[in-house]
Amino acid sequence: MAVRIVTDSTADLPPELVEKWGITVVPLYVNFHGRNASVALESLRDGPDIGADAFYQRLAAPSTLPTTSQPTVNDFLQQYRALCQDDDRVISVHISSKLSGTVSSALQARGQMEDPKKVEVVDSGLASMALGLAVLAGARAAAAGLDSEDVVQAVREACTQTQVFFMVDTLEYLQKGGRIGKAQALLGSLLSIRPILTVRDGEVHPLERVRTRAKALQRLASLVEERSPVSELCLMHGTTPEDITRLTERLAGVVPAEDLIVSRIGPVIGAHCGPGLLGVAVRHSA
Amino acid sequence: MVSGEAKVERFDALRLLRGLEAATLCLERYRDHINALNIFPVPDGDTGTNMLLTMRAVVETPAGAPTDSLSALAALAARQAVLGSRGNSGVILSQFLTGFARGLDGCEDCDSTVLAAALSQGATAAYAGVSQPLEGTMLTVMRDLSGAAAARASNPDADVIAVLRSAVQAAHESLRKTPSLLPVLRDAGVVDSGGQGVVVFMEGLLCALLVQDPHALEVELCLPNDGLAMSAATVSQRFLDSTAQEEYGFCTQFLVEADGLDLSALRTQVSQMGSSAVVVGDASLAKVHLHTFEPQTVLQFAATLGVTSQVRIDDIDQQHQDFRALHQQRQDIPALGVVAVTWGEGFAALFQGLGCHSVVPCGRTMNPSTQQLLDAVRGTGAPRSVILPNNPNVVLTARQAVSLSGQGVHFIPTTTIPQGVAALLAYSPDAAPEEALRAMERAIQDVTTVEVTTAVRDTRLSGVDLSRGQVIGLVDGKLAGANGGPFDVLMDTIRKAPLEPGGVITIYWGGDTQEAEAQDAGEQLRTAFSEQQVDVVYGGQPFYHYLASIE
Repeated sequence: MAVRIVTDSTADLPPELVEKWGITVVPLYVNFHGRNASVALESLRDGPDIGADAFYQRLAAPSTLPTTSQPTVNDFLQQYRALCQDDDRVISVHISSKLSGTVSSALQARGQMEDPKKVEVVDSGLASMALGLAVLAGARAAAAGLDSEDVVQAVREACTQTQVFFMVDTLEYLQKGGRIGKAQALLGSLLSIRPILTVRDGEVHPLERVRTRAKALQRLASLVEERSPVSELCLMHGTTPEDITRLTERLAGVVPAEDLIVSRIGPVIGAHCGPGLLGVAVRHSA
Repeated sequence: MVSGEAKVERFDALRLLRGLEAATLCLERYRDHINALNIFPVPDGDTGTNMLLTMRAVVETPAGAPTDSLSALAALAARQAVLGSRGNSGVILSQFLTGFARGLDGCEDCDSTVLAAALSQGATAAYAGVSQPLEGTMLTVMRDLSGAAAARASNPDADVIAVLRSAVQAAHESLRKTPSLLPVLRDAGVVDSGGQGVVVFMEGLLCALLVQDPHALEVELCLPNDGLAMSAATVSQRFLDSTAQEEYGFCTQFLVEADGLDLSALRTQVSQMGSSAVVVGDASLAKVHLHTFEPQTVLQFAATLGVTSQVRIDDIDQQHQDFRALHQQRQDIPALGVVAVTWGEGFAALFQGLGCHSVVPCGRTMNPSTQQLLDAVRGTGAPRSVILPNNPNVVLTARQAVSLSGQGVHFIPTTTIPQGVAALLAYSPDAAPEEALRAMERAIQDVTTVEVTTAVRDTRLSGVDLSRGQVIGLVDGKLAGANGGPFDVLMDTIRKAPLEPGGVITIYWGGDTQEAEAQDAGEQLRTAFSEQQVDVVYGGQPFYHYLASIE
């Protein structure tokens, strides 16, 4: 009896880690709406149908903003059934239920299982690689042979120890996608500012405001340093690999170089935050 | 003692009341002269106006003053002055009165010795209220006059009149010496304006004691050496433009012209029709400012007195509703409320947009009172608050509000609006108050402020002679450019300011500046400094063609 780890595509886990730990990633959908009725709605699976490069190219084109939708109950059910053969257990860890209906789909799928007890659904209250780090904690615990309760415990502990900080070039995407949360208060600024945001209590919270991207990068780095000692660190970007180079230099030594994770923000998070997102997910040692 | 003059052995509540009233009248008469002594070449901290408004808060005590106890009246006057104090000079005056009242504590009336001691306590309190007391200012005049009073009172023959007369004489002498104590005054060729205000105030006190008509009092003035006197008409207009807009109804302002106007009767009548009544002027022309639900009633009434003109009616309700709507979006009461003093509607919107909980408008010449700041603090609904004065003339008022409200109210000594913007940007609603305050304090150190304005009088600044009407550019208060029009001076001044790579230049254009010119300046700066982020934003501020921040 093994414990299998399932997550969703908003974790933005690098493919090599997904493969290394045998994680199952259920994709959300990105929907491109045609500008007129004669152009059909395109609903693409995040990952299998559209990758980051293709997505950001389309995002740059002047058209309506893409929307996103959660995986279907059936998407989850198929995976759960496939994974639960041989009496294996599933721990399904997902994006905050305040940001997406993904947890709801997963719970409904669990309810349709012949033996729902074989599946445990965890609402991480996080997103992107903060979720990703919690998923990796579960995967390591599962690989170490822990039973399902202990794996869930490891995941929950990681959730409480992990924070995500990110900056966006504009709040427009978060606002239009309805995910702006408490950062609503930052709207209406007449100055161009770079908000630094976090996910707290499952929602997007404003943290700070700086005037330039360069200062935002420095601030993200100092937010990591303030959380010392750091056990895990991930740097995230959408379209700016040069910022990752700068952040890597700035944060050299915080974690061993071989443990530093760099993640590319995928289409679903990209659709809600815009192309300029730069972020850090950091787990501090207990 | 002048021969034939009756001695006054006791100083009592009634004499103090008449004295304060006469001092207020004198400040009203000499306000323009005091204002004209401002050394900084823009009229943004009108000392005479501030002292007058502070004293008006004292003499317009609504409940009626106790005239049976000197100690009770002095305490009430001090309290009213503190609450109504405006600008640095008003705050210092209010602290003088506070110390004075302390010196009279428990006195039903007093003799000349106690009076002199009370004046000394006033001077001491005034010094104590300023973090870095500067000699050659109104503080020096207060100390010198109280010293002379004490010396005179040591003579057993000296009555109350003799003591006050010595004080007034010493105040005049001390005032004449202020330019030798403060180089910036000597450069500008003026005596200290606040010191002049103290002289006028003391002359008023003495005048009442001598039972003379304060309207007829001629105070010997130290005029600026270039002889410039501000025209009363310009001051009147500026007075009219100043409004405090935190109430309901309509902000109603107009002029009324007639022969033989009775200003105090007019003030009483107008006050009954609304709130925030300000009536100033003379027997031929009065300016009226009032918040009322029925502006037409006031105007009809005024029309029965004379010819009305320059009528301006603004809907405070609408402004109030807009303000409330903005605030209702924020459902959570912040742990740390932010109160900011700003100039211009552009800046008011900017500060609100950046999450400031309460914006206190700073009129063209009227600095907010301590009471206004306290009201704004209360308006945030937050358990703790921080005040951003954003103006050197409001820093003391903010400090006074902090000391009056006890725990939980803080201020960050921002002296320019760009510093205030930087502090506000560093404010984080989620952070613990101490942490937020530290971040805000840190942030103001990284801002360089550029100001482009027009000198309103011939003066000397940073060793350079400036003529009236000349456009000047300042970097953190130091003269950096003075050639050409506002656009040229702005560009020139920013080029001279320290720029760091990856920085931000923000240009705020003023109420009298064209947007197209401001945008053009932004474009040129973007081309010249490609590594800088350049923002161009409407500030709407008076006096300054441009304000800019460099971060």
